[in-house]
Amino acid sequence: MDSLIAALSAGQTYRSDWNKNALPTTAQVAGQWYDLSTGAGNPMMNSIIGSSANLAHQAITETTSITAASGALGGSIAGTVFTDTTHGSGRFTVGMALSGTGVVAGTYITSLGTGTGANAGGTYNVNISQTVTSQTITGTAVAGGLPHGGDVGALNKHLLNASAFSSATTTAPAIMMLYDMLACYTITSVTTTGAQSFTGQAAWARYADGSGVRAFLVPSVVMGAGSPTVQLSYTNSASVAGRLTPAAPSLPVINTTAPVGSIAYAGTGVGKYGPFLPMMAGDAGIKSVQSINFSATMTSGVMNLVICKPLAYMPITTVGVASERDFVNMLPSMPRIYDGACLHWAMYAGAATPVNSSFMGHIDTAWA
Amino acid sequence: MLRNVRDLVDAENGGQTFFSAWRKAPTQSTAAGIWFDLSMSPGNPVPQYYAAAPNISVALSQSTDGGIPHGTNVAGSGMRKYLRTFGVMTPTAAAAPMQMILCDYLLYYPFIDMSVTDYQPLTTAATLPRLKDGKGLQIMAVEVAGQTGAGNPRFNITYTNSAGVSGRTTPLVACNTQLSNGTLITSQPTDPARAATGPFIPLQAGDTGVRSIDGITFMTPDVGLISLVIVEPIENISVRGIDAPIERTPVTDYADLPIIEDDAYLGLICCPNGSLAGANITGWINTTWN
Repeated sequence: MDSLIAALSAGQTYRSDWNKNALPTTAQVAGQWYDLSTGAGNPMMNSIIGSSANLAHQAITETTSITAASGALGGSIAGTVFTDTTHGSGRFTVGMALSGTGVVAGTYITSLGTGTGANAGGTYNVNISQTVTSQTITGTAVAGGLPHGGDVGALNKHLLNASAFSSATTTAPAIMMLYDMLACYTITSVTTTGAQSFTGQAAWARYADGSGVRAFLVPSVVMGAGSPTVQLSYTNSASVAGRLTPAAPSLPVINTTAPVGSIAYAGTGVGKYGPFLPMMAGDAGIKSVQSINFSATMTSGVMNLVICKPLAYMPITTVGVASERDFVNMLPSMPRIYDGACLHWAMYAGAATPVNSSFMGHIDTAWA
Repeated sequence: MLRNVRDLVDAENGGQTFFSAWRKAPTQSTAAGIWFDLSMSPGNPVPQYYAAAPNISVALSQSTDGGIPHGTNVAGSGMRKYLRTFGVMTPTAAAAPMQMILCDYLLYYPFIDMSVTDYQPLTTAATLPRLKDGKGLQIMAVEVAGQTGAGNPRFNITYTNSAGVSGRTTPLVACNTQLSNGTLITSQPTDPARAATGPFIPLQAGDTGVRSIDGITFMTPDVGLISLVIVEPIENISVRGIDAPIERTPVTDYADLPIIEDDAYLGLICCPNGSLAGANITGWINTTWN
């Protein structure tokens, strides 16, 4: 306690207010989990999800960025529609900032049109109306995590308290979960069945031993028809390889036409879990992932395996009433926030939640 | 095994923890002061209805039947799992105040006919899947096909207690007049000759648990069916209003950490202040093992 008071007195503290919206196009269903990282608001939407190559490891920190580009003379903007006439490299995602000769500063993709990331001729809606003739247009994705005070090096940073509330109608009850996003694997081969191996493996930048690390699946492009089971092969935090998502009582079942931002296997019924993929008996975390196996085609869409470390949760009971956690007095106290942590919220909808419902709150950190 | 706070902190930092959210949206009309079995209500986890061959015991487990998820089995790793937090909230005014008990549902005897006034022997084809000696286990009578409640039918149960003594007999208990499936049929009876029993049927004096149920005798007939369910009450919580979540942290509230057995089937019973039809009851549990 003395160290905490000394740190606060010395200014080694940071307050970060946030405001995230529920899904922009699809009402959230009661009893399902959602990833708010891709929702609009502050911090801006996470556009890293869905932007990397198929099945490739993409490490994530709060400063991670990744680009996509149309081909030379292959991109244009007419009004609020960006057309990737001839695709060049990478994958365009919602939230990407666009740049190029004549592109108005601050332009970003607000939603998908016919584009799915890398399809030539695909269209994307942008926030600023303008006319940009054919040229190379580059998109830059950012991880968009909640600011938590910057790197502290040899010191340890902790979460002191956090709050969440909503004044939008029918958003309560809800349960919010704060997590640190460690890595993402974009999966575009969604019609492929059988084990698909991940590539470019690297240790997690934080929680390298995997203790407490979990995984979830979230679409970045709405999924098509199909409700396959899914099984993840991983190495647990005791470094035992060949661990598999357990088949009993049931493998997770992907929701058909799962919308962007939804935890793809969450909900009610057989094969529904949330928010994380189940692990084998006795496992306490995921050190690395090896492959993923969908039992049937999902027809279309882009799925993403997100690797994360859950940090805290809090309930929202009543519209307009703030919920606050005091982590100094909770047991165990003060979850640690590592340098580079990319903090986002997941949400369990206790009620049908209208599109773009706004959630707000704050976090306080301190380090010593 | 968690022996101290240091162990608890280490276990959680080591990822030996599981978070699970649940949501129940009953369709049944309940009444103030009468206990109700939420495992029979829609929502998440999916309901179960005690559907099996009449009068023959069936075991319930997470791996085969579901219930509120609490993480995988840990005993094989030499560990024990505990309930860390238990929270609930509701925006439905009719629900509050409401007492709730988190239970491990172990064994049930389905579809017992309330119209039969002869002694009905029950068959224990499946034995307790957990807590096999029966210590601390209780019996609740769940309505699964509507009674009339006319005349407050009375019954008693013979059972084998946790010391292995058979032929033990409960006091005579009376049914309430609630018609909804899921009602704990002996809670708050209107029979002035019988005391209100709460959710569980009182045991014979001196007994501290139930290992199996041997039979049942109704003194007066009624239509309807009940299931007798053997449960372990794990933790209770009280919803006081609709404007704040309620959270139980046993380690700080009671200096206690209730044990969650491997493969436990977790469900909830509740005593609302009115009808829960259309209510939204949302909550969570957090488990830790070491």
